[in-house]
Amino acid sequence: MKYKLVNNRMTGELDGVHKIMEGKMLCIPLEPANKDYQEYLEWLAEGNEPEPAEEQ
Amino acid sequence: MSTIINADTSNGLKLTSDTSGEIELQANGVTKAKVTANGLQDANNNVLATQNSLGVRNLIINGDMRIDQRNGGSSVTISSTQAYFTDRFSINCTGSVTGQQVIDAPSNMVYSLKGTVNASTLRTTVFQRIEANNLSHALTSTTTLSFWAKSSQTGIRSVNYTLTDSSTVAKVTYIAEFNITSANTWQQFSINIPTPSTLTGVNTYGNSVSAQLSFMFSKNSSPSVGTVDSWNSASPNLYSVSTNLIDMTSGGTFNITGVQLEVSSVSTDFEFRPYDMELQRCQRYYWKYVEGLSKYINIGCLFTASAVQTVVTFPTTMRTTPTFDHSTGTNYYGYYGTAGWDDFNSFTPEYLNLSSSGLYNATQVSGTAGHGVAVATRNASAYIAFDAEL
Repeated sequence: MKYKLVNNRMTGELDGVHKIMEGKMLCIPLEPANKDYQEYLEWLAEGNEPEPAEEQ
Repeated sequence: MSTIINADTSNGLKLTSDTSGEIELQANGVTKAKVTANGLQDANNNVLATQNSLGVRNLIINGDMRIDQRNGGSSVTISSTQAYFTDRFSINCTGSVTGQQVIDAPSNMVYSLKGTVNASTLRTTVFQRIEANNLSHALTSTTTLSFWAKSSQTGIRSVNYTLTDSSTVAKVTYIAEFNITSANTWQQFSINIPTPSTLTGVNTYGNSVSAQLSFMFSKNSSPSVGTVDSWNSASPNLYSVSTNLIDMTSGGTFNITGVQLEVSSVSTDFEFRPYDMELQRCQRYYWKYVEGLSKYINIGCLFTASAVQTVVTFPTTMRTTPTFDHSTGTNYYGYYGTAGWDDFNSFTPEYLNLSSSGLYNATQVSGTAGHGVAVATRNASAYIAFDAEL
Protein backbone atom coordinates (compact mmCIF):
# COMPACT_ATOMS: atom_id res chain seq x y z
CA MET A 1 0.00 0.00 0.00
CA LYS A 2 1.21 3.50 -0.73
CA TYR A 3 -0.20 7.01 -0.76
CA LYS A 4 0.39 9.35 -3.68
CA LEU A 5 -0.58 13.00 -3.94
CA VAL A 6 -2.63 14.12 -6.94
CA ASN A 7 -2.88 17.59 -8.45
CA ASN A 8 -5.90 18.91 -10.31
CA ARG A 9 -4.96 18.67 -13.98
CA MET A 10 -6.55 22.06 -14.77
CA THR A 11 -5.46 24.17 -11.81
CA GLY A 12 -2.28 22.32 -10.89
CA GLU A 13 -3.24 22.55 -7.23
CA LEU A 14 -3.29 19.64 -4.79
CA ASP A 15 -6.64 17.92 -5.30
CA GLY A 16 -6.48 14.65 -3.38
CA VAL A 17 -4.45 11.64 -2.40
CA HIS A 18 -4.53 8.17 -3.91
CA LYS A 19 -4.28 5.10 -1.68
CA ILE A 20 -2.91 2.48 -4.04
CA MET A 21 -3.32 -1.18 -3.12
CA GLU A 22 -3.07 -4.47 -4.99
CA GLY A 23 -5.88 -4.41 -7.55
CA LYS A 24 -7.61 -1.43 -6.02
CA MET A 25 -7.25 2.33 -5.67
CA LEU A 26 -8.98 4.78 -3.34
CA CYS A 27 -9.04 8.40 -4.51
CA ILE A 28 -9.41 10.40 -1.31
CA PRO A 29 -10.59 14.03 -1.26
CA LEU A 30 -8.98 16.59 1.05
CA GLU A 31 -12.13 16.60 3.19
CA PRO A 32 -11.79 16.62 7.00
CA ALA A 33 -15.07 14.71 7.45
CA ASN A 34 -13.95 11.89 5.14
CA LYS A 35 -12.80 8.87 7.19
CA ASP A 36 -10.18 7.85 4.59
CA TYR A 37 -8.68 11.35 4.74
CA GLN A 38 -8.69 11.13 8.55
CA GLU A 39 -6.79 7.82 8.30
CA TYR A 40 -4.34 9.42 5.88
CA LEU A 41 -3.70 12.27 8.33
CA GLU A 42 -3.05 9.70 11.08
CA TRP A 43 -0.63 7.91 8.76
CA LEU A 44 1.14 11.23 8.12
CA ALA A 45 1.28 11.95 11.85
CA GLU A 46 3.16 8.68 12.33
CA GLY A 47 5.99 10.20 10.27
CA ASN A 48 5.18 8.66 6.89
CA GLU A 49 5.43 10.52 3.60
CA PRO A 50 3.33 10.12 0.45
CA GLU A 51 4.75 9.97 -3.04
CA PRO A 52 4.73 13.42 -4.65
CA ALA A 53 2.22 14.43 -7.28
CA GLU A 54 3.20 14.19 -10.91
CA GLU A 55 3.86 17.41 -12.76
CA GLN A 56 0.84 18.56 -14.81
CA MET B 1 -62.52 -2.85 35.67
CA SER B 2 -64.28 0.06 37.34
CA THR B 3 -63.80 3.60 36.17
CA ILE B 4 -63.72 6.82 38.12
CA ILE B 5 -64.65 9.96 36.27
CA ASN B 6 -63.62 13.24 37.85
CA ALA B 7 -64.54 16.64 36.55
CA ASP B 8 -63.71 20.04 37.97
CA THR B 9 -63.51 23.56 36.67
CA SER B 10 -59.72 23.68 36.44
CA ASN B 11 -58.96 20.33 34.82
CA GLY B 12 -62.06 19.48 32.85
CA LEU B 13 -62.87 15.81 32.51
CA LYS B 14 -60.30 13.31 33.76
CA LEU B 15 -60.39 9.54 33.54
CA THR B 16 -58.35 8.00 36.32
CA SER B 17 -57.28 4.40 36.30
CA ASP B 18 -58.18 2.17 39.23
CA THR B 19 -55.74 -0.13 40.99
CA SER B 20 -55.21 -2.12 37.75
CA GLY B 21 -53.35 0.90 36.39
CA GLU B 22 -55.23 0.72 33.08
CA ILE B 23 -58.05 2.52 31.38
CA GLU B 24 -59.71 0.50 28.65
CA LEU B 25 -61.65 1.98 25.75
CA GLN B 26 -64.25 -0.46 24.51
CA ALA B 27 -66.77 -0.75 21.73
CA ASN B 28 -69.51 -3.35 21.86
CA GLY B 29 -67.79 -4.84 24.88
CA VAL B 30 -64.47 -5.35 23.05
CA THR B 31 -61.32 -3.53 24.13
CA LYS B 32 -60.03 -1.33 21.30
CA ALA B 33 -57.39 0.69 23.12
CA LYS B 34 -55.87 1.13 26.56
CA VAL B 35 -54.12 3.82 28.52
CA THR B 36 -51.38 2.25 30.63
CA ALA B 37 -48.16 3.28 32.27
CA ASN B 38 -46.56 2.92 28.81
CA GLY B 39 -49.00 5.36 27.20
CA LEU B 40 -51.78 4.76 24.72
CA GLN B 41 -51.82 1.15 23.49
CA ASP B 42 -53.95 -0.95 21.21
CA ALA B 43 -55.69 -4.12 22.41
CA ASN B 44 -52.48 -6.09 21.73
CA ASN B 45 -50.41 -3.74 23.90
CA ASN B 46 -48.68 -2.01 20.98
CA VAL B 47 -47.84 1.55 21.95
CA LEU B 48 -49.82 4.09 19.90
CA ALA B 49 -49.79 7.79 19.23
CA THR B 50 -46.35 8.56 20.57
CA GLN B 51 -43.27 9.49 18.61
CA ASN B 52 -42.02 5.91 18.57
CA SER B 53 -45.20 4.66 16.91
CA LEU B 54 -44.69 6.92 13.92
CA GLY B 55 -42.77 5.91 10.81
CA VAL B 56 -39.00 6.06 10.44
CA ARG B 57 -38.50 5.61 14.17
CA ASN B 58 -35.54 3.23 13.91
CA LEU B 59 -32.33 5.20 14.36
CA ILE B 60 -30.39 2.27 12.91
CA ILE B 61 -30.08 2.00 9.12
CA ASN B 62 -30.30 -1.44 7.49
CA GLY B 63 -31.09 -3.03 10.86
CA ASP B 64 -32.42 -6.18 9.16
CA MET B 65 -29.24 -6.54 7.07
CA ARG B 66 -31.11 -6.49 3.74
CA ILE B 67 -28.64 -4.24 1.95
CA ASP B 68 -25.18 -5.59 1.11
CA GLN B 69 -23.82 -3.38 -1.67
CA ARG B 70 -20.17 -4.19 -1.02
CA ASN B 71 -20.21 -7.96 -1.08
CA GLY B 72 -23.62 -9.02 -2.42
CA GLY B 73 -23.83 -11.91 0.05
CA SER B 74 -20.27 -13.15 -0.50
CA SER B 75 -18.10 -13.88 2.53
CA VAL B 76 -15.06 -11.80 3.37
CA THR B 77 -12.34 -12.61 5.91
CA ILE B 78 -10.58 -9.83 7.76
CA SER B 79 -7.63 -9.96 10.16
CA SER B 80 -6.85 -7.45 12.90
CA THR B 81 -8.77 -4.66 11.25
CA GLN B 82 -12.29 -3.46 10.62
CA ALA B 83 -14.38 -3.58 7.48
CA TYR B 84 -17.94 -2.95 6.40
CA PHE B 85 -20.07 -5.98 5.55
CA THR B 86 -23.84 -5.48 5.27
CA ASP B 87 -24.35 -1.78 4.62
CA ARG B 88 -23.64 0.48 7.60
CA PHE B 89 -22.49 -2.47 9.74
CA SER B 90 -18.81 -3.00 10.36
CA ILE B 91 -16.92 -5.78 12.09
CA ASN B 92 -13.91 -4.80 14.16
CA CYS B 93 -11.63 -7.59 15.32
CA THR B 94 -8.21 -8.08 16.80
CA GLY B 95 -8.04 -11.58 15.30
CA SER B 96 -9.52 -13.11 12.17
CA VAL B 97 -13.24 -13.12 11.42
CA THR B 98 -15.19 -14.17 8.34
CA GLY B 99 -18.31 -12.09 7.82
CA GLN B 100 -21.22 -12.61 5.45
CA GLN B 101 -24.81 -11.58 4.79
CA VAL B 102 -26.79 -14.85 5.03
CA ILE B 103 -30.40 -15.90 4.56
CA ASP B 104 -31.11 -16.86 8.16
CA ALA B 105 -33.37 -14.72 10.30
CA PRO B 106 -36.32 -14.81 12.69
CA SER B 107 -39.60 -12.93 12.91
CA ASN B 108 -40.46 -12.23 9.24
CA MET B 109 -36.96 -11.05 8.46
CA VAL B 110 -34.82 -12.72 5.79
CA TYR B 111 -31.20 -11.75 6.32
CA SER B 112 -28.71 -11.61 9.14
CA LEU B 113 -25.04 -10.74 9.42
CA LYS B 114 -23.09 -13.88 10.29
CA GLY B 115 -19.58 -13.93 11.69
CA THR B 116 -17.27 -16.89 12.12
CA VAL B 117 -14.46 -16.43 14.59
CA ASN B 118 -11.22 -17.92 13.26
CA ALA B 119 -9.19 -17.70 16.49
CA SER B 120 -9.91 -17.51 20.21
CA THR B 121 -9.21 -14.79 22.79
CA LEU B 122 -9.61 -11.98 20.30
CA ARG B 123 -12.03 -9.08 20.29
CA THR B 124 -14.91 -9.43 17.86
CA THR B 125 -17.36 -6.56 17.56
CA VAL B 126 -20.20 -5.67 15.19
CA PHE B 127 -20.96 -1.96 15.16
CA GLN B 128 -22.82 0.86 13.44
CA ARG B 129 -21.89 4.52 13.75
CA ILE B 130 -24.72 7.04 13.83
CA GLU B 131 -24.52 10.46 12.19
CA ALA B 132 -25.33 13.39 14.48
CA ASN B 133 -27.88 14.68 11.96
CA ASN B 134 -29.94 11.56 12.72
CA LEU B 135 -29.38 11.44 16.48
CA SER B 136 -29.61 15.02 17.77
CA HIS B 137 -33.24 14.64 18.83
CA ALA B 138 -32.51 11.43 20.74
CA LEU B 139 -29.54 12.50 22.82
CA THR B 140 -31.60 13.82 25.71
CA SER B 141 -34.14 11.00 25.72
CA THR B 142 -34.54 7.48 26.96
CA THR B 143 -33.96 5.05 24.11
CA THR B 144 -34.60 1.36 23.72
CA LEU B 145 -32.45 -1.04 21.77
CA SER B 146 -33.88 -4.30 20.46
CA PHE B 147 -32.26 -6.96 18.29
CA TRP B 148 -32.12 -10.65 17.50
CA ALA B 149 -28.96 -12.69 17.97
CA LYS B 150 -27.78 -16.26 18.08
CA SER B 151 -24.47 -18.03 18.45
CA SER B 152 -22.99 -21.51 18.35
CA GLN B 153 -21.61 -20.73 21.81
CA THR B 154 -23.86 -19.82 24.72
CA GLY B 155 -22.85 -17.17 27.22
CA ILE B 156 -23.00 -13.51 28.09
CA ARG B 157 -22.24 -10.88 25.48
CA SER B 158 -22.05 -7.08 25.75
CA VAL B 159 -23.69 -4.13 24.09
CA ASN B 160 -21.79 -0.87 24.12
CA TYR B 161 -23.55 2.39 23.19
CA THR B 162 -20.94 5.13 23.09
CA LEU B 163 -21.57 8.80 22.46
CA THR B 164 -18.56 10.38 20.77
CA ASP B 165 -17.10 13.61 19.53
CA SER B 166 -16.95 14.28 15.78
CA SER B 167 -13.74 12.24 15.51
CA THR B 168 -15.23 9.10 17.12
CA VAL B 169 -13.47 9.71 20.41
CA ALA B 170 -15.61 8.18 23.19
CA LYS B 171 -17.14 10.61 25.68
CA VAL B 172 -19.64 8.50 27.60
CA THR B 173 -20.47 4.80 27.27
CA TYR B 174 -23.48 2.72 28.26
CA ILE B 175 -22.77 -0.99 28.70
CA ALA B 176 -25.35 -3.75 28.96
CA GLU B 177 -25.31 -7.53 28.78
CA PHE B 178 -27.29 -10.01 26.72
CA ASN B 179 -27.15 -13.69 27.52
CA ILE B 180 -27.36 -16.27 24.76
CA THR B 181 -28.75 -19.22 26.68
CA SER B 182 -29.36 -21.74 23.90
CA ALA B 183 -26.85 -22.51 21.14
CA ASN B 184 -27.85 -21.81 17.53
CA THR B 185 -31.25 -20.49 18.57
CA TRP B 186 -32.53 -17.02 17.74
CA GLN B 187 -33.29 -14.90 20.81
CA GLN B 188 -34.65 -11.38 20.91
CA PHE B 189 -33.18 -8.91 23.35
CA SER B 190 -34.45 -5.54 24.50
CA ILE B 191 -32.31 -3.09 26.41
CA ASN B 192 -33.58 0.13 27.91
CA ILE B 193 -30.99 2.90 27.76
CA PRO B 194 -31.63 5.81 30.12
CA THR B 195 -30.96 9.43 29.26
CA PRO B 196 -27.17 9.96 29.03
CA SER B 197 -25.49 11.10 32.22
CA THR B 198 -23.60 13.79 30.34
CA LEU B 199 -23.25 15.18 26.84
CA THR B 200 -20.01 17.01 27.55
CA GLY B 201 -17.83 16.78 24.48
CA VAL B 202 -20.43 14.80 22.50
CA ASN B 203 -20.98 15.84 18.90
CA THR B 204 -24.66 16.83 18.87
CA TYR B 205 -25.20 18.10 15.33
CA GLY B 206 -23.90 17.96 11.79
CA ASN B 207 -22.74 15.27 9.40
CA SER B 208 -20.05 13.69 11.56
CA VAL B 209 -20.39 10.79 13.95
CA SER B 210 -22.28 11.15 17.22
CA ALA B 211 -22.52 7.58 18.49
CA GLN B 212 -21.29 4.05 17.98
CA LEU B 213 -23.54 1.10 18.83
CA SER B 214 -21.43 -2.03 19.28
CA PHE B 215 -22.28 -5.68 19.85
CA MET B 216 -19.40 -7.46 21.54
CA PHE B 217 -19.48 -11.16 20.72
CA SER B 218 -16.03 -12.16 22.00
CA LYS B 219 -13.33 -10.56 24.10
CA ASN B 220 -9.58 -10.40 23.91
CA SER B 221 -7.28 -11.32 26.79
CA SER B 222 -7.32 -7.90 28.46
CA PRO B 223 -10.46 -6.03 27.48
CA SER B 224 -11.45 -2.60 28.72
CA VAL B 225 -14.15 -3.33 31.30
CA GLY B 226 -16.93 -0.97 32.35
CA THR B 227 -19.89 -0.93 34.71
CA VAL B 228 -22.91 -2.76 33.35
CA ASP B 229 -26.33 -1.09 33.10
CA SER B 230 -24.73 2.28 33.62
CA TRP B 231 -23.36 5.25 31.72
CA ASN B 232 -19.58 5.18 32.10
CA SER B 233 -18.20 8.70 31.92
CA ALA B 234 -14.81 7.99 33.42
CA SER B 235 -12.43 6.58 30.80
CA PRO B 236 -15.16 5.82 28.27
CA ASN B 237 -14.12 3.43 25.53
CA LEU B 238 -15.67 2.42 22.20
CA TYR B 239 -14.93 -1.20 23.02
CA SER B 240 -15.53 -1.41 26.79
CA VAL B 241 -17.30 -4.61 27.73
CA SER B 242 -18.95 -6.38 30.62
CA THR B 243 -16.51 -8.32 32.74
CA ASN B 244 -18.73 -11.37 32.08
CA LEU B 245 -18.25 -11.28 28.29
CA ILE B 246 -17.19 -14.72 27.04
CA ASP B 247 -14.21 -15.59 24.89
CA MET B 248 -15.37 -17.38 21.74
CA THR B 249 -13.30 -20.30 20.50
CA SER B 250 -12.11 -20.76 16.93
CA GLY B 251 -14.91 -21.85 14.63
CA GLY B 252 -17.60 -20.24 16.76
CA THR B 253 -20.33 -18.40 14.91
CA PHE B 254 -22.71 -15.55 15.67
CA ASN B 255 -25.60 -13.93 13.80
CA ILE B 256 -27.35 -10.64 14.38
CA THR B 257 -30.32 -8.91 12.76
CA GLY B 258 -33.42 -6.85 13.53
CA VAL B 259 -31.38 -4.10 15.19
CA GLN B 260 -33.61 -1.23 16.26
CA LEU B 261 -32.80 1.80 18.39
CA GLU B 262 -35.75 4.06 19.11
CA VAL B 263 -36.71 7.04 21.25
CA SER B 264 -38.96 5.17 23.65
CA SER B 265 -39.04 3.53 27.03
CA VAL B 266 -40.30 0.31 25.47
CA SER B 267 -39.31 -1.65 22.38
CA THR B 268 -41.72 -1.91 19.47
CA ASP B 269 -41.91 -4.32 16.55
CA PHE B 270 -39.09 -4.04 14.06
CA GLU B 271 -39.81 -1.30 11.54
CA PHE B 272 -39.78 -2.72 8.01
CA ARG B 273 -39.03 0.24 5.79
CA PRO B 274 -39.46 -0.04 1.98
CA TYR B 275 -36.41 -1.53 0.25
CA ASP B 276 -35.84 1.50 -1.98
CA MET B 277 -36.02 3.82 1.02
CA GLU B 278 -33.54 1.75 3.00
CA LEU B 279 -31.20 1.45 0.01
CA GLN B 280 -31.17 5.18 -0.51
CA ARG B 281 -30.45 5.76 3.16
CA CYS B 282 -27.48 3.40 2.82
CA GLN B 283 -26.32 5.20 -0.32
CA ARG B 284 -25.78 8.36 1.68
CA TYR B 285 -22.80 6.48 3.15
CA TYR B 286 -21.75 4.10 0.37
CA TRP B 287 -22.81 3.68 -3.23
CA LYS B 288 -21.64 0.90 -5.50
CA TYR B 289 -22.43 2.17 -8.98
CA VAL B 290 -21.33 -0.57 -11.36
CA GLU B 291 -19.70 -3.96 -10.95
CA GLY B 292 -18.69 -6.60 -13.47
CA LEU B 293 -18.07 -6.82 -17.20
CA SER B 294 -19.68 -4.59 -19.83
CA LYS B 295 -21.51 -2.13 -17.61
CA TYR B 296 -21.89 1.31 -19.11
CA ILE B 297 -20.75 4.09 -16.81
CA ASN B 298 -21.91 7.07 -18.87
CA ILE B 299 -21.45 8.98 -22.06
CA GLY B 300 -18.10 10.75 -22.19
CA CYS B 301 -15.79 12.59 -24.49
CA LEU B 302 -12.16 12.78 -25.45
CA PHE B 303 -11.32 15.97 -23.60
CA THR B 304 -8.00 16.01 -25.42
CA ALA B 305 -6.41 13.48 -27.77
CA SER B 306 -5.00 11.68 -24.72
CA ALA B 307 -7.70 12.16 -22.08
CA VAL B 308 -11.12 10.56 -21.82
CA GLN B 309 -13.63 11.99 -19.36
CA THR B 310 -17.10 11.16 -18.09
CA VAL B 311 -19.36 12.27 -15.24
CA VAL B 312 -21.22 10.26 -12.60
CA THR B 313 -24.20 11.68 -10.69
CA PHE B 314 -24.98 10.10 -7.30
CA PRO B 315 -28.50 8.78 -6.50
CA THR B 316 -28.61 10.77 -3.27
CA THR B 317 -26.57 13.47 -1.61
CA MET B 318 -23.73 11.79 0.23
CA ARG B 319 -22.83 12.47 3.85
CA THR B 320 -19.57 14.15 2.93
CA THR B 321 -17.33 14.36 -0.11
CA PRO B 322 -16.78 10.66 -0.72
CA THR B 323 -13.74 8.60 -1.52
CA PHE B 324 -13.78 7.26 -5.06
CA ASP B 325 -13.17 3.51 -4.74
CA HIS B 326 -12.52 1.28 -7.75
CA SER B 327 -10.72 -1.86 -8.75
CA THR B 328 -7.71 -1.44 -11.00
CA GLY B 329 -6.05 -3.75 -13.50
CA THR B 330 -5.00 -4.06 -17.12
CA ASN B 331 -7.82 -2.88 -19.38
CA TYR B 332 -10.46 -2.89 -16.61
CA TYR B 333 -12.22 0.10 -18.22
CA GLY B 334 -12.62 1.47 -21.71
CA TYR B 335 -14.46 3.75 -24.07
CA TYR B 336 -16.16 2.97 -27.35
CA GLY B 337 -15.72 5.53 -30.08
CA THR B 338 -15.42 5.77 -33.84
CA ALA B 339 -12.26 3.62 -33.77
CA GLY B 340 -13.80 0.92 -31.57
CA TRP B 341 -12.70 0.15 -28.01
CA ASP B 342 -9.75 1.85 -26.33
CA ASP B 343 -9.03 0.40 -22.89
CA PHE B 344 -7.29 1.70 -19.79
CA ASN B 345 -6.61 0.59 -16.20
CA SER B 346 -8.02 3.19 -13.80
CA PHE B 347 -9.75 6.50 -13.29
CA THR B 348 -8.94 9.70 -11.44
CA PRO B 349 -11.88 11.71 -10.04
CA GLU B 350 -12.24 15.40 -10.74
CA TYR B 351 -14.42 17.99 -9.02
CA LEU B 352 -15.56 15.28 -6.61
CA ASN B 353 -18.40 16.62 -4.46
CA LEU B 354 -21.48 15.54 -2.48
CA SER B 355 -23.58 14.89 -5.58
CA SER B 356 -21.36 14.04 -8.52
CA SER B 357 -17.87 13.40 -9.78
CA GLY B 358 -15.97 13.66 -13.01
CA LEU B 359 -13.84 10.61 -13.87
CA TYR B 360 -10.97 10.69 -16.32
CA ASN B 361 -7.94 8.84 -17.58
CA ALA B 362 -5.22 10.97 -19.12
CA THR B 363 -2.34 8.52 -19.35
CA GLN B 364 -3.45 5.45 -21.29
CA VAL B 365 -5.79 6.57 -24.08
CA SER B 366 -5.37 7.97 -27.56
CA GLY B 367 -8.03 9.32 -29.89
CA THR B 368 -9.46 12.37 -31.53
CA ALA B 369 -10.11 15.33 -29.25
CA GLY B 370 -13.75 16.31 -29.08
CA HIS B 371 -15.18 12.95 -30.06
CA GLY B 372 -18.07 11.63 -28.03
CA VAL B 373 -17.65 8.14 -26.57
CA ALA B 374 -19.39 5.61 -24.33
CA VAL B 375 -17.42 4.69 -21.20
CA ALA B 376 -17.82 1.21 -19.70
CA THR B 377 -16.28 -1.55 -17.59
CA ARG B 378 -14.22 -4.05 -19.57
CA ASN B 379 -13.41 -6.72 -16.98
CA ALA B 380 -15.50 -8.95 -14.71
CA SER B 381 -13.54 -7.73 -11.66
CA ALA B 382 -14.14 -4.05 -12.38
CA TYR B 383 -16.24 -1.99 -9.99
CA ILE B 384 -16.84 1.66 -9.17
CA ALA B 385 -18.05 2.88 -5.77
CA PHE B 386 -18.17 6.04 -3.67
CA ASP B 387 -17.60 5.81 0.08
CA ALA B 388 -18.66 8.42 2.65
CA GLU B 389 -18.98 6.10 5.66
CA LEU B 390 -18.46 7.34 9.19
